[in-house]
Amino acid sequence: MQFYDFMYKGRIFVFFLLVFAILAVYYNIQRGKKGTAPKLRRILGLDAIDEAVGRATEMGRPIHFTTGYGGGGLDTPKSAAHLAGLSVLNYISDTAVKYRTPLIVSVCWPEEIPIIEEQMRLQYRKYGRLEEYQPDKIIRFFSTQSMAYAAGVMDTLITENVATNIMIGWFWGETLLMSETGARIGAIQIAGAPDTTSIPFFVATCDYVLISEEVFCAGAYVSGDPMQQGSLVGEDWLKILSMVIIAIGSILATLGLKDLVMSFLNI
Amino acid sequence: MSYKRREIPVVITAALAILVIFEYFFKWQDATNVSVRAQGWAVILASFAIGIGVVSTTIFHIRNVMGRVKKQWYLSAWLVFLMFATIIIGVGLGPDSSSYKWMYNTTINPLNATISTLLTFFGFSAAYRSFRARNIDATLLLVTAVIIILYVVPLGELITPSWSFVGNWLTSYPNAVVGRVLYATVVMGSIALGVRIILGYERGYLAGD
Repeated sequence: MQFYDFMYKGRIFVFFLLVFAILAVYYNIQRGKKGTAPKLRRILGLDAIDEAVGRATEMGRPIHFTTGYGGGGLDTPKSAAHLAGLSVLNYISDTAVKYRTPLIVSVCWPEEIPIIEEQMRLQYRKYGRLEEYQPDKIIRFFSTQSMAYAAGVMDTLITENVATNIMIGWFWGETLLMSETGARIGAIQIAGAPDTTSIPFFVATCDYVLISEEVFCAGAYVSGDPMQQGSLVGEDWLKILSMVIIAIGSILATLGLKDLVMSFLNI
Repeated sequence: MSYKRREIPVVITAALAILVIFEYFFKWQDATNVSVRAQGWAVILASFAIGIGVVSTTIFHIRNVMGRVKKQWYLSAWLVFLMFATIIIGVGLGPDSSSYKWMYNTTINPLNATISTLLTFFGFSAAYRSFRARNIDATLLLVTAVIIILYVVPLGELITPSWSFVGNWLTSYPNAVVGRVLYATVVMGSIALGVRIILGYERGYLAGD
């Protein structure tokens, strides 16, 4: 019996790619731990978070944050983008609580509520102001339906006179409704989405946009943790390997060896 | 953050993630059974979270009503009334009852459609702002947008059939290629994020780090 008899056909190649990814990320986390991870390129959208939060603080107006509808919550494949957004929220809430800037978090998926409550509670405790923590003033749950949620966010942006609107997660039809409302009230807007459904709308309406994988690396980037940032280099290695595989596959397919390529990918 | 609050969630997350990944690749029925059950728990937990959402919304709007918040309190009162009316009818008579369906079809569906329609107007104003030819990038965007608009609307075909060729080429090649590249990077970004979460390095979502 061969070792691949224990595995599902068509998934063995992907398994080894995943193993490579895990090893590459782990190795670069260890490099980061030793302080030898390469320097990251700057991501303007993430660098602008401090400026955007500072603007709201100076104006005495609230910051609004949301991770979007995106067609699914934390129990779906969309969870990666929502979790990436929540990692950025952790950074924003730290600064907001530190400078006493009002923060409003709109929620579409209620399973995010306990996570956000815990994040905020710990930030207030960190700055010794736990008695000021009022979760019901921070977290606004509207609906698990895209349009109802969008209507709630639009109303919040206008009635609360938001100075900074940050939207990082996974978005669908609600994208333009929320971001255009933010643009109309003159809020500085930072948005991030992984898919092409919402990126064009964000580009048209927001000041800074995180595109695709920048969303997933946002938490590591803003954390300033060299170990997390090292993992991003591992991701780059996976990209290089993928490009090499694509190039070899393209050449072989051009030479008429498409069946060979497909049989290799389907082992 | 205490040890229990930080380490226990990380261990549970890592164990379940490894289990789900393992059963995707390996033929082991016991692992599949446990994984299916664990994924079922996730759905059940997410469903229970709706209750948290209802409580959170009720507290927020009741406070608005009690505090007589200007231009808000009567809307908040209306929202709470409708929310509980929907829950009572839905739970009491069932989601397949004619009353519940009537309520859904005559209020929620039209309201959803109304909000969706706003997209058209918002799309116009967003396009007006972004398609002004202020620099080379914006000019390229403007030219491409005009070509695609003429490709999509029947008028473009009447002006010249060549719009169809150019529009089709733009959507089938440059647009499709960029879309696939973005999709590939999403997959790789998700893998890296997943590895960081499994190894316990990405804990921003747990707070405190």
